[in-house]
Amino acid sequence: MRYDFCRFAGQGKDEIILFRAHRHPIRLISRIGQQLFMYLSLTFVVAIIGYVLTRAFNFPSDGALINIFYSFIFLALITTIMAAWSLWYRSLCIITDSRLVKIVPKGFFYSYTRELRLDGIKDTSFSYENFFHGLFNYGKLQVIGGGTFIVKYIPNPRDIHHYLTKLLRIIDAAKASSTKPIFPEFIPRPEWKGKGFKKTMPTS
Amino acid sequence: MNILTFVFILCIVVLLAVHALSAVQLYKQRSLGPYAVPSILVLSGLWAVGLLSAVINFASYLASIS
Repeated sequence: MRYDFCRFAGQGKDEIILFRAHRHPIRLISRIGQQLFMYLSLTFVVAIIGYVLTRAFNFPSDGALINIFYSFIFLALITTIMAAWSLWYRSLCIITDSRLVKIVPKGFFYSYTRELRLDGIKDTSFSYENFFHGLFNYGKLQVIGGGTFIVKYIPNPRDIHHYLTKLLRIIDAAKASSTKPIFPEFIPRPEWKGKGFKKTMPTS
Repeated sequence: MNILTFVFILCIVVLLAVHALSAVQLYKQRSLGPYAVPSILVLSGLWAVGLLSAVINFASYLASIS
């Protein structure tokens, strides 16, 4: 199976992951970019202050201190990348053959997990909220079941919405015929074109 | 220990704590995907290079003022 490498906390032994996605990579890149901009601004300000102090007030220029400052900027940047990557990597949306799971880490020690059984889904919708969402093909997926289940910044929300709709149709058909549903596996773009959805074996 | 050494160690400890906590949380969730452990190794390697650079620069600064 495509997603056999992934196991999440609370996953059943015979539970098959049909789809998994992190937030769109542009979210990670933009967060790191913001921090990089902040560090570059700080470096620029310190350089200007240093230049003014050495030129206007004849302060002694100390290369070793400047090198220490640059070392700390580098360390802070790596630490920021690690923190942003860790948060991004741990945030997941997973669709299994029985439920929809959303895992959102909140800081270092706490993560928010929410799940919704597939047979409890009443309605699904998706939206692109602004220009960049459309440009980079990510957006908000909204699933209504026992409450509203919102997954933000998910890549390919249109395809996932269609996929969920297909799963719901399969569940309804299986209920009507009293058989076990056979769920198709989600195949992300660009592989999706021409291949369609790949059927999985029925679960025991 | 002068104030500069204290500030240097404090900054290192804070950055190390944030980096280590992020890495530990990521390692605990390594079953989510194949890139968790390699990314920890690469970023921790880069962090070690940065730390070495900071320590060498700080030592050279201390040598220059003494």
